[in-house]
Amino acid sequence: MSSHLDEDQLLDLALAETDPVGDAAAHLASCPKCTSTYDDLRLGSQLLRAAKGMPSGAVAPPPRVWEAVQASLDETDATDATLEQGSGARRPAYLTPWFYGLAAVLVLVGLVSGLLINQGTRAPSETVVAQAALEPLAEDAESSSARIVESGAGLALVVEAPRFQVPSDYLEVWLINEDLERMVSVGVLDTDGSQQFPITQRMLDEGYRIVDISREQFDDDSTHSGDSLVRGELAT
Amino acid sequence: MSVDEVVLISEEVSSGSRDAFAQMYDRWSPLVHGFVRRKVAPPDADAEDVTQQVFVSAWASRNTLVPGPTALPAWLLLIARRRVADHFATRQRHDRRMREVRRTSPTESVEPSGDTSQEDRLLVSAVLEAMSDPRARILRMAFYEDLTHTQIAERLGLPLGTVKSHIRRGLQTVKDAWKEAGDEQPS
Repeated sequence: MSSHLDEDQLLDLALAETDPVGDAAAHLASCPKCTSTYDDLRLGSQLLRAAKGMPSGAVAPPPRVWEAVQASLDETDATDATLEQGSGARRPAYLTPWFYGLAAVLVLVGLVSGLLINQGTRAPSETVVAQAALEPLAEDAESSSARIVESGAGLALVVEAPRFQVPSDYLEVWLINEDLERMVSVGVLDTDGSQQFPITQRMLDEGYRIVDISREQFDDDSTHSGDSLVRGELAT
Repeated sequence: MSVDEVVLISEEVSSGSRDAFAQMYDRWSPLVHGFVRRKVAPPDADAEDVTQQVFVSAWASRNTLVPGPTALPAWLLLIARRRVADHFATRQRHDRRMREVRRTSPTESVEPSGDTSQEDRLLVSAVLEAMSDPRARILRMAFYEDLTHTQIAERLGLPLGTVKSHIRRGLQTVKDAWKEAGDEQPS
């Protein structure tokens, strides 16, 4: 193999309008190292030329975005600290990076914080048998959560939702069947915070496991308006 | 911001510095947000939510950031691409379920724009903006003002060899960033 081409030569060759000829071409044909550098410089120059005149299109996000990011990071860091104290062992699976790609992060953090906060306030005879993170499906809807609790009084669907800032006559809570055809209304959502709706085991067994909150009007139609605010599937 | 500062910030973010993260947000959130806005249709709130998710994801996966001169903003734009794809996937799931629950005519499904070359150009333009002078300036003079290397050397009062060296390194940076950002195919 002829001697390597020096870096300046490779640059000039890569930027030239015509392909290499003669000794230079012969060397490149037999030298992977020089060819690799040549290809890199050519590609770089093509990319750069193609971007000519392209503004970076930067638009500063409004301040509320940064505030929300910080709030979420504060919660995550606090949760990490709490869980590390608790288990001392490796991080639970749901905190590993890949999981964040599957669900809106705030929903997950909200659910974890909700669980931690509720440790102290749950009645001792209550057991959580299933839970769901409810994803927003409409503008102005916020993430919510739901769980099924079992107590001496039977089964109840507990919904934790903020007061949605959306116009409606009332908000209705549904359990939609996994067949996505049948559904049951479990009641009207009123409070800002936690609310309980009695349900039966048979409903869960029959597959009514998708929690949905919808906007409804005072009309002669008792069926689901189709205007869902949040939805999520209960999982044990 | 100099290349060294970029390297430092990437090192500190990857090892969990909230301070460095704030500096990173300061410097590159406009770029990320501009990118997101181009892909996510109005209302503005949708794009803002996606941008928020990009940075929350970035913090959560900070251990995947490999510190270096080309790490930022390529890493952020890669995460941005994924969060934009998630946004559309959620919309499509919602539209599909709404059709199934209500049995009404299908709502308009929202497809992401498949304009890859525009994405490339945005990325390269961002990389150039992230570079410090004199390198960025030399690259612009060589590729956008069509000056010869000798002319550039004369105008800037630099040795020809230095000018060529900056061009070489600059081109490698552009190529590396483009490769890093394109390493994953959006699902």
